[in-house]
Amino acid sequence: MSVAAADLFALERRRVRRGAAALAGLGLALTALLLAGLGHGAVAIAPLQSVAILADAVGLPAPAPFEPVQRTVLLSIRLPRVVLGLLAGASLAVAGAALQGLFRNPLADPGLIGVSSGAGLAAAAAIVFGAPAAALLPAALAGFFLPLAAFAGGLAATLVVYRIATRDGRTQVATLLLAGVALNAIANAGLGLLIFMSDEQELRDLNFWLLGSLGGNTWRDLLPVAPFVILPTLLLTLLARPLNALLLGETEAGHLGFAVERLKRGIVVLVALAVGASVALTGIIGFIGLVVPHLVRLALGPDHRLLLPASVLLGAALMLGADLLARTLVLPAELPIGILTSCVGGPFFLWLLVRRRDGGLW
Amino acid sequence: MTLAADMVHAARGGRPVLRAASLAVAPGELVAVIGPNGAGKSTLLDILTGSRRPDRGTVTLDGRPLADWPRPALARRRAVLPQASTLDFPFPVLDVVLLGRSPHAGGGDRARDLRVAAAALRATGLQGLAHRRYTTLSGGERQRAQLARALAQIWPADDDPSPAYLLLDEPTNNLDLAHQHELLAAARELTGRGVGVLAILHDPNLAAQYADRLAILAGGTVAASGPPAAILDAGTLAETFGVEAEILTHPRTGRPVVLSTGRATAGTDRQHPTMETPR
Repeated sequence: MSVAAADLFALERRRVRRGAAALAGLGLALTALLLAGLGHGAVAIAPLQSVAILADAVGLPAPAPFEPVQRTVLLSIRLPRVVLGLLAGASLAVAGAALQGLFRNPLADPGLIGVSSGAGLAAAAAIVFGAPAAALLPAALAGFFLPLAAFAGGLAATLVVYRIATRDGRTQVATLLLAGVALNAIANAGLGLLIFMSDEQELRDLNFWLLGSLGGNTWRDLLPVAPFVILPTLLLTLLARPLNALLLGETEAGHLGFAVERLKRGIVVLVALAVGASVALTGIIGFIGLVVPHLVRLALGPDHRLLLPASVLLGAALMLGADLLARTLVLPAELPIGILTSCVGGPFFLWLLVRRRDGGLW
Repeated sequence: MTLAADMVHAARGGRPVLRAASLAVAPGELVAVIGPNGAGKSTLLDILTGSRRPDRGTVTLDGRPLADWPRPALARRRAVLPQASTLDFPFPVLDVVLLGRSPHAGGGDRARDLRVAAAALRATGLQGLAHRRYTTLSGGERQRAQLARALAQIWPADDDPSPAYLLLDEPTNNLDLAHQHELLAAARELTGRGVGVLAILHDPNLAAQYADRLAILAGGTVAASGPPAAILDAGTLAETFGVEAEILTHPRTGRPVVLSTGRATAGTDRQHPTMETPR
């Protein structure tokens, strides 16, 4: 074969190596943050002790000694919190990446275009009116009421935005963002109404939850919903090739042999599931879905085969990092994590808009 | 063995766009479709690609109706070069070309995909730009990168001699003269390898120069079809394009050259001119 082909092979090998190294680095960072998240708090637990407790919990020999109180704190308080952060960060980030591919626009973010607040409104309604409505459901489904409601709200919002912003397979950025503004306003009005109607206790629940937090979740809250976060997150990462093709345009992806309509419906449903389920657990945590895929694209390029798994890892890592900050900044109190991500994400979004003028990324 | 539309009808917004239009392209020939705005060229192309179904009539690829082809199998046999691509993400050119290999995945033969990509890049003169980011290319280079992608999609397999078809939708829009010729020459070269090429073109002269066969689409139907020299005459051009034109013969190539001198006036009742819907 000619020189050109050999060049391409070398290029490809270099890229595969670079991608693997990036994923490994992100994996390491995530592990470090995970151990930091498990260890940090009133009862300090060293990283090795965390490993020992986890090993002990699954019946393996523990590599280091630990106190019973450390074990209790780690297994019943910190671990569910860290797992939740991991799942929420991963799912929001991969949902953002998939939405940006679907809309062929890097400004799509579950929070900005109204998916999160749609899910939020439905979940808040479930909190306030939930008891009588949940009673109507069969007992087996009652535990899923909140995530189901959030999913339905997220799905409805995604469909509305998609319908309004996409004509003939082309998404108008301005329309997309304006539709998001309108949806967010409607959802906020609904939430305001719910707040107005709710009693003291519901108000506290709602407020905590609107600002977004990883705290207060137990295994009982987390376990039934976890599959609804994990499954769509994994399925979305499998859509790398069709998402790459979709960047060429919907018609072109169809000419390449992809079932575009089915693909689009699949992405919308999976995104609504992932975002809805994670919003149901953590409340609204903005900008992870916008910032993470952007950072990955800047560093590793737009190829979804790398973008999606890297977003999963970086999303989880950033969420755990943000949670660590939220837990330490205003000791002994705890800052709602949604405030923190918006503090960072808002300026980042503005920076993207400014950058956009010199014809940068899109 | 052809890609053929037979007596297809199509309407857009209740208004008929195609009426009993028939057009076929055989392996190894370059067919150019020309016609005035609103004649139904884009609709005919959409129908031939399978992205739109005709209201009546049939479209077949090698005798089998398009709708019966599994999507990936169809994609391995026919590729489409869009008017202008909407890719706004900074992929390396190599990755854009490799996207053309999507319907071949499953076999997962990455080495073969890379060999085909290299060959497609050479065929379009882009071998030096494989590492470049698509978003930094000029308009002409982008269009060639898209052509390379389309070529990679239908590159003949060693073990499968089935012919492939390439459909070009006004591929020379937004290109300067040199790039227009470069692109059509690349398409022309493909016919030598047995690919059937169908190109929608705006410029009758470019069409006459590169096509084996010319089809003039007017008022939703194929008004004339045949070798360029046989069908390009003043009467046909007045009837179909509504222009007054002299037809000369190029002194070197022997191909017809159209010199239009103005709108046709008497005796030609052109179909209502309508705007073509922008794609």
